[in-house]
Amino acid sequence: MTDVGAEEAAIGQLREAFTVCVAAGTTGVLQVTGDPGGAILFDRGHVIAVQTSGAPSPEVLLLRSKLVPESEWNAAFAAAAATGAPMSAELISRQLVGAGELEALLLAALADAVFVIASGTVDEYRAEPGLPDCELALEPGAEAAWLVAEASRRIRVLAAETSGHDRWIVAASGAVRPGVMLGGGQDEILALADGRRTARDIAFVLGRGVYATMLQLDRMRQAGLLSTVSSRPVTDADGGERGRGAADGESDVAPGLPRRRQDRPSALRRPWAQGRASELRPPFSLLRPRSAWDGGGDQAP
Amino acid sequence: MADDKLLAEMQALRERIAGLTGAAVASRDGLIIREDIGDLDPDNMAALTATALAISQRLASEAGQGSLRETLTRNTGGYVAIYAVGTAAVLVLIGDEGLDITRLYRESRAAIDNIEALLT
Amino acid sequence: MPGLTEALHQVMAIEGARAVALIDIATGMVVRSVGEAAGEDGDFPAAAASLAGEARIACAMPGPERTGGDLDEISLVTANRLQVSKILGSRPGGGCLLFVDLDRSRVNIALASLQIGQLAPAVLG
Repeated sequence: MTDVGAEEAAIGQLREAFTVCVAAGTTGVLQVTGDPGGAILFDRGHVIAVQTSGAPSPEVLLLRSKLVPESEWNAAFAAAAATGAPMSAELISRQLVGAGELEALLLAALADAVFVIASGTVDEYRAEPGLPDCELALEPGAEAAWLVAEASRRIRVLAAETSGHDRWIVAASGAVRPGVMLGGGQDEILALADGRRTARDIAFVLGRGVYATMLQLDRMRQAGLLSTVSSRPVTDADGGERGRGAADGESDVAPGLPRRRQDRPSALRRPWAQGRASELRPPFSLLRPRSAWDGGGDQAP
Repeated sequence: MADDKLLAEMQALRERIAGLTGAAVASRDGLIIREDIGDLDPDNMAALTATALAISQRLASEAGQGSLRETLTRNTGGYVAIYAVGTAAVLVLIGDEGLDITRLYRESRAAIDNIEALLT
Repeated sequence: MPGLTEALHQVMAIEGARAVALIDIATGMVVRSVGEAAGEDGDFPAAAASLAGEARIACAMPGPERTGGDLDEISLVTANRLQVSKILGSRPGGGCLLFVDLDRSRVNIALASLQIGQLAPAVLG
């Protein structure tokens, strides 16, 4: 139950930080330290991009899903770099992706990234003025409150599922039968379900969102096509398997989302699930007018 | 067995770092010692890794830039990072596009020390 | 760029339309919406997610066994409402629903269906 508490705290943290950034009309980066943590890019109080190692970026979504061929992407990138035009405009003008399609994809990527960050743990957050270069920014940016609400909805949907989610995905024996195609992307998933990949890893390979992948994995697990394990088998020198981790529909980890929390140095594991939310503050106040970002000095909160 | 501890060390790295999809330890003359790289060919990876390390070390030297810290290959589909382990071995880490390469360098320090200790 | 919201506003112009939304099939997320979109108990996101779930199940049926072809549209008809969800940009595990909520007392079903069919392809374009 403490894990659920930590997840609730993470989304609470994000909601709090987002509220401040929106109210301040922030243009800058909200750095979220945690697992996976990430960086949320704000432009005048709206979210234009999110960077995290926990979810595929728009570029990965476009390239890995083969929506945009690599050679076309490279040509568009070179042209955009040469003219200073945004990559999104270049992709659209070259008709590699529709304007509406790209907007929907960027919104989906933002929602997925915020969901993944909100589902993990947040150790601290701080806002930094100034925007780094960002390849595929959403213009105009998305409503931060909407992103948090959507992340919260997704967490609730997953929490309502009957079995917990453990990290490593394994195809059930007999799930893959020669000459039999399951369709709907299930064959690709079974090919990747070798016990070495999490839902996040599979999402990256397929160029799909993590949440969407988790939904599909759960459906496949209910259909008996795959299972999850909490620890991977250790192979001995001859390549045989010893000591397989528990393959279970009921996880020995509290129900939640795949997270890498074992073996983390204890310094990073903060007992912050209860009551510390109010103690976490950004090192300097976000509540100052935008103009103060330009060379303004640090003001104590 | 040291082999299992090596494997455990590499698996622990993969547990800690999102996006790290594979790891392998090879000798400096290109022979695989232990691997956790899934479908990739360990012999080819070992040979290439050892060669890449040697070339990168010479590059660093030729450029007058001191000793090699890390060789990072950035590809469309991810990253390959190579580190010297002592003088006799090499560690290759393979990651997808989501790999946090700054964090990787930091986190790999302890693992490299541990692996070096396991190999001596 | 004019964007999705403007494209949805064009669909809103259909006589009888009360709400128009774009729903991501893979996640059930409401990508954009205009008008008074409301599900049961006023929880449109939940209704949208449910609709997307139905689309996923329908789309997941393997091709060769579905002699009618790919899923095109889902329609829900109640005493007062006609809700049309057109599949857009379908690809394995992807695509969107163009959801149009119409007041049955004001809508010409045949005309609305035609207009939705005409406007739908341009939404993602």
